[in-house]
Amino acid sequence: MKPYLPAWWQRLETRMIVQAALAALLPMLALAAFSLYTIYHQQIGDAQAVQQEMARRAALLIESRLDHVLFALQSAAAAPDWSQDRQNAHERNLRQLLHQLPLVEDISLVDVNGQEKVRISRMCLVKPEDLGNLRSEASFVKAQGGVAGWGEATLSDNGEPLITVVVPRLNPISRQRETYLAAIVGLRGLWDEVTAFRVGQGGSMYVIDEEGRLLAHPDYSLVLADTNLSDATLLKTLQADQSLPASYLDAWGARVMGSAVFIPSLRWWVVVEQPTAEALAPVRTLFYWLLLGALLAIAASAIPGWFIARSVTHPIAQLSADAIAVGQGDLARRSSLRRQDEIGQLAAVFNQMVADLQEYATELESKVTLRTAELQIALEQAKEADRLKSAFLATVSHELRTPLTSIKGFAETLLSDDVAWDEATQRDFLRTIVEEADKLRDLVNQLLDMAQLEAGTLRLQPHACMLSHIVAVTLERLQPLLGNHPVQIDLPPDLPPVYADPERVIDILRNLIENVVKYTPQDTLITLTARAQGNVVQVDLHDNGPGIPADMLSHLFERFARGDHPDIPGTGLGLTICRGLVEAHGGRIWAESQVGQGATIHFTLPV
Amino acid sequence: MIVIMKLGARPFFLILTGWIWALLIGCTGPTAPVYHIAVIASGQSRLVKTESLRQGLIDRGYRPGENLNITIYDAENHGDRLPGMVQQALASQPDILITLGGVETQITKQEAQDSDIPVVFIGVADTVDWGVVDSFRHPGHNMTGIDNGYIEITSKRLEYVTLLLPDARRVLVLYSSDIVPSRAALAKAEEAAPYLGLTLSPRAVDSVAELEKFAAALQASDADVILITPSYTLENALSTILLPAATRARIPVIGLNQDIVADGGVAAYGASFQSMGYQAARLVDKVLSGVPAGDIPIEFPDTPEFSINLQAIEAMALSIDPDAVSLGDRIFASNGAPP
Repeated sequence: MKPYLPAWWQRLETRMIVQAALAALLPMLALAAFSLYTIYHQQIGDAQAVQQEMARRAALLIESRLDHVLFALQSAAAAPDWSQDRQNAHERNLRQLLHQLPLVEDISLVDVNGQEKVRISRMCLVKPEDLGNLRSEASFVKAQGGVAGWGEATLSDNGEPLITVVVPRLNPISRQRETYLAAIVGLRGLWDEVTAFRVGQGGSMYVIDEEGRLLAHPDYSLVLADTNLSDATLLKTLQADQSLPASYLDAWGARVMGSAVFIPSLRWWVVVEQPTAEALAPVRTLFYWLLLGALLAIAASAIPGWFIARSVTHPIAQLSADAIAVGQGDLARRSSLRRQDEIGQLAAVFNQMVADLQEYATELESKVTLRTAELQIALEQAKEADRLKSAFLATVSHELRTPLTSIKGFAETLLSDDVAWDEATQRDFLRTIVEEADKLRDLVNQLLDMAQLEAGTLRLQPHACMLSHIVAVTLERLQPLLGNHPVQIDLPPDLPPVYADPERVIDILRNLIENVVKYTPQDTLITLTARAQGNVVQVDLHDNGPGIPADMLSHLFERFARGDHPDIPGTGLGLTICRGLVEAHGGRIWAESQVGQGATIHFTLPV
Repeated sequence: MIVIMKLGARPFFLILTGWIWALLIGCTGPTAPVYHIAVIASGQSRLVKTESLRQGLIDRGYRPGENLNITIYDAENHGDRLPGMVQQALASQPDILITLGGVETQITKQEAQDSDIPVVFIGVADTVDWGVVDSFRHPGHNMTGIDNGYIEITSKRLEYVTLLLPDARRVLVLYSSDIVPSRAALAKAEEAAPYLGLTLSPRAVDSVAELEKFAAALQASDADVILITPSYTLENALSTILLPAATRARIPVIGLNQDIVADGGVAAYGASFQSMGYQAARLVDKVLSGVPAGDIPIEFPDTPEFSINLQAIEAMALSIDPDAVSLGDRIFASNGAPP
């Protein structure tokens, strides 16, 4: 089964254009693919490097800002007057410290048991009953160990992210921990600074803790909504201590590229993410340019390709149209292409072929016309022969029936009992019966002769014999038939003997003379002459009758040719038998006549 | 192809041109929408929020006059006009309604309860207890905004009164009895006063006329300090009625934020209108980006500021604690301008 090819693809021109476009496009595509591959990987590397650097800077910023708070608290804790039990002084110091540290929301002095002694809040008056105990706070537990430590990030009632830090104060003499400074740091002021880092147009930086709680994000509403990213691919990957993939889905379902930096002291992740599409925008831009270049290459190659294809296919199409016209019978059609190239040669050959074809067609047409005419003639002849045969049958039937009727009539008359015929009458009747029987015999003999001639079975018994003797015997036998037709014989005395079967020559002469007697009026002179001509003797039988029409003259010796004389009895075989007998002797027979001037039958016999 | 053959080379150039146009159109992207914002203000004093909001939106990429149209509906201190103005604003089918205070928000909530236009309020006190929103994290009601925290911070204002004016004992608290946050602030003040050794004298002022009457009698007052609570009546008439009278009576006025101090108040503690307006730009941007307002958590202002007007202090020859001045975040110098 042939594969299906659409019609447009089967056009030579289409394929040539496509091939030209592909020839220009394929190298360009290969180059484009290589360029895109290289730049894609380079862009990913560059973007990740930038993101990593930004995350690192942000982490340093966070650490430095919080370290600033920590150092300020540690410096304040080192002041000597914390040891004194002066509430007002502590409050004043804490207020000053709070004023100096805008990130701090609340600051308090805590005893060794974690109990707040004094607390100053930025948002409200702290009443004595508001003072709490921090001993369960992770930051206080750390501070009890002698290390200033950060607690876990929490959210306030308002949703603001907070983190607690507790700094121990050591007794300058005993070096024992005698009190603590605790601060609640509001991270929002820090985040405004951190999240101001921008990575491109759509990129963002955010901070999450180890549990995935979102602590900072440019969309601060997400922080206030206590968003948790513990199910995000990012956190799972980071927690598995694996490197981030080049591209992944962020917590909000967008495909991004990202980097993360861990802050060990806070156990936070600073994450920088940028939409992959944006990070790879240069690659996409390059892709578009390459695509445009490819399209231009296609156009730039297809247009000349189209012209080239057209220069080839157009003359082929013309030649094809000429061929189709010739195929439809327009043999006069010729290609008008006049070129010196292969197509021009093809057109010349085509024209030559069409010219030859036209010639052959003309010749064939002539032959057909000729053959048709011949067949028509043959048909007419066959029809004529059939007609003659019908007429012959009718004539033979009539010729056979007439003597038979006479014979039967005379015989029945003689046998009749009611009449007594005299002897003379009986003899006349019997003579008539004999004559009619002779006619029957002659007719049958003619038919037998004709059959033998056509079958080629006629046996001659030729020998040298004198024509004068044959003519004499013939005239003697025809005497009763000649009636008033005078016969003039002119045979030269030195006529050589002919080599023939005398009985058959008699048959020839008898048939010829009987025809003259039948078709010429009474008293028509019959002249029989003969002369030697080379190795033959030519016999001429002439009459002064009405002559034979020209159209009859050419069919005179054909079977059943009787002319337009239906009233004259005869079979139409006499002259045909004559021609057969003459030709059987090796001679030739023909007739000459002009209407009104009689007719002459010539035949030759070998000597 | 047969058609192409008949047309000649022209189709190739047409197709090529079409490709280039398609690429250019694809690069330009869709037309940016133009947003319409309607602002409801009870009076002139609150319009400063609009200016900072406008600046915040500019910083977020909006271009007023191009892709942002802001229409202000100012009741000019006539509270009775607010319902009609809200209806007028709603009829203009804005993309978002901005309310610049509590009374504007309260009336807008009533008037727009059948509307699907989101509302962002700027500087409303006590939003949850007042019933403006359901909760800070999930406000609902197609509303979000900035809660100014002025109720909670009232006790801190009183604390700063004692720090700045250590001799002050009698505090006259002005409030509006018909405004819930104002009453809530009074309650906070009454709760804190005993711990600070202060005696409070609450005075309800529910109209400008009452404020004028109060101001006229201020000379005879024995109050050491006047404390302002959140009330649009007080805020809008402060600079024209109360502050001149208080100055003449040499009674320092402790206000809500630096805006009062700039107008002649002695001191204030709270976030400024400007900062809240700028902060609200973030919420407006988010609402315009398609996030339902009721799903956006309520935000609180950035760190409140302690503002001190040394000029007013000098003018009234007040006795102040210099240590308290050192706690000031924003000091208005004796020439009337911030240092």
